[in-house]
Amino acid sequence: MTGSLAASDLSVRYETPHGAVYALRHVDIEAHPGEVIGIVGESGCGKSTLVTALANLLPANARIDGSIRYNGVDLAKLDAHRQRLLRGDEIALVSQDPMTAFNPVLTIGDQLVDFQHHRKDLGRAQKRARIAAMLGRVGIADAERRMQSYPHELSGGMRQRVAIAAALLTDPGLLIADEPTTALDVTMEAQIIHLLRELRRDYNGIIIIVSHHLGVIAELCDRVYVMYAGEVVEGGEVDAIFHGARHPYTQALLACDPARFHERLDRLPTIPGSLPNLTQPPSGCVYAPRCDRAFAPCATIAPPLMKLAASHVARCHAVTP
Amino acid sequence: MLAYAVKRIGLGILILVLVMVAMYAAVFLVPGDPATVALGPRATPELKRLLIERMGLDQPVWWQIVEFFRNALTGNLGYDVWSNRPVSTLVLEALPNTLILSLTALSVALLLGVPLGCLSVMRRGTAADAVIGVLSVGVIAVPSFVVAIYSLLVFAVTLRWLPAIGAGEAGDFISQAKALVMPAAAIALGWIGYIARMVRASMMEVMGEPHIRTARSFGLPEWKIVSKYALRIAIIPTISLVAVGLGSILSSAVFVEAVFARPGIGKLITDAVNTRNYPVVMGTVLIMTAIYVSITIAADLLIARLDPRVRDVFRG
Repeated sequence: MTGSLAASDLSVRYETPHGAVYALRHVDIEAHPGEVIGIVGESGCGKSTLVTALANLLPANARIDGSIRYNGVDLAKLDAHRQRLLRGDEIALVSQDPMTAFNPVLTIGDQLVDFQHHRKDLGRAQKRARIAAMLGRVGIADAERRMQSYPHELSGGMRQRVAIAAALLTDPGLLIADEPTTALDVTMEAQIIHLLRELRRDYNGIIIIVSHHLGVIAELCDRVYVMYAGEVVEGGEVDAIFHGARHPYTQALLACDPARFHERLDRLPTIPGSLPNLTQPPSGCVYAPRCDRAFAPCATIAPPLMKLAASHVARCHAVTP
Repeated sequence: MLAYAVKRIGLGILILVLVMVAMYAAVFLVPGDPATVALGPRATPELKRLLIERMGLDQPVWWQIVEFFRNALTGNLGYDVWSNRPVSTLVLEALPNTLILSLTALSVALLLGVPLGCLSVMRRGTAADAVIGVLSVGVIAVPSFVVAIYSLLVFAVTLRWLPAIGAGEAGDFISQAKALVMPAAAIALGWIGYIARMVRASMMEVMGEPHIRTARSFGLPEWKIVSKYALRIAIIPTISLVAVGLGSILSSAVFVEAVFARPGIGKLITDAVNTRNYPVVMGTVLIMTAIYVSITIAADLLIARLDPRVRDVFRG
């Protein structure tokens, strides 16, 4: 079953002994079946919290406000049991680090059989047959033998393929890949991107790809949301964002992309300043202290999400349609 | 794996030899004449000489050790100096009682400790977790002989539910089982707490690993994550602990057998030491060390069986 996903006014804070950390604030995103959505931002911008919230995997100290509507059901309001029934059935997550994503003492086949536990209609032999077929599809040769392997016997790239196969086996309506290529070397990264591109051709659900790598997002996604300090600061079609970014942060981020520089640089360009303290988020624009276009209202009044085009939004006082 | 096993067994044999050398050195170094201690100050010199000869103490120490191992290889562990019965017979008579006692205690400790540890993790931060924690620390702190004496007072003397001494009528399973309850409980109690704490601690660590999040992200039920995905990793330190702890379980068996006047290795050793019956002491120590070494090897092989990464280290 496939349906649309819409998070509206979604906020997540973590209760810690040192006070609450407002990791995600007033986030609005939407995704429709067949779309590939990118979420981009630097470390600590809240992108992992966002996908963790979408996958219902937030830790016990997280408090969630707002709604996550998927297929008309508000995921944030479901009890733990109903959330668990959705995970691995409707919603699948490909986690960040393929090196540690699998249990080290169980075989790949054993784990992938368990991961299909929502499919009560299938017997063990059928599940294993599905695994073999899916491993073949993600480009793993000798699938039968690989199912007998333990995770440490596989290379990083192979493990990431297995992780993607595991997610696809559950036939999810929502597939979330959290930094799917970050832990891999460049060659492996290219192979995994190639694999994901292949897969999106015959997949009808929603794919959400999180990355701090702009190239990955540009290659794979239809639309992209740019996050900064727990907020979505800009969102739109990949072309619109990469060629017509309006938010100063997005522009600065693109200007710093190492892929843009072909000559040797002594120093990579950076955005001056640092992230705001999320235990006391600023009342105005979160980016104002680092923004070279900041003016009077930026420090005190939080900018609204401005609609610039059909699907292009930005959260900035300096941007007008 | 085979090479690893062979290496471990070779090391085990070396440990056996070293332990026996230490034992003989101890007898040699202990001041005073063992015959005088055993027979009393008024024994005649002929009697003393006879006893020293029977225990082989007139020979040089290295020769005593060589003789001991030469005989041990043929299954002869020497003779009881007082009753003249073969030590191997004495040990074989006493061993089953001690093994049944230790293994019952250990099984009870594992069967209760591991699930309690798992329950603590599944209900972490709740009242159940706190109660299990407090009780565990409580029972760890109580020495087994205290449990033995108090349970004797309550269940044997006051309530008369269980027999106070002995190992039960031979051939009568019910009577033997009843005689086993208190000694086994006395040894197991502390270990239940110990194992529960150990399982909880290593389980908490494993539950924080990314692969547990993967299992959760596929919606696996929590009990399955705990019992299959986490326990197989978390149990490994507990196995090492139990293997090492078996030495301490066997030594608590010595006390507990004394308290309950239960025939067994513990009672055999205590009696033999008290009467300076050196052949019995040496033979029993050899057998106990051999058992202890074999258990440690078995535990290491079990860990290698459970953890494929360890297995590969030994293969490669």
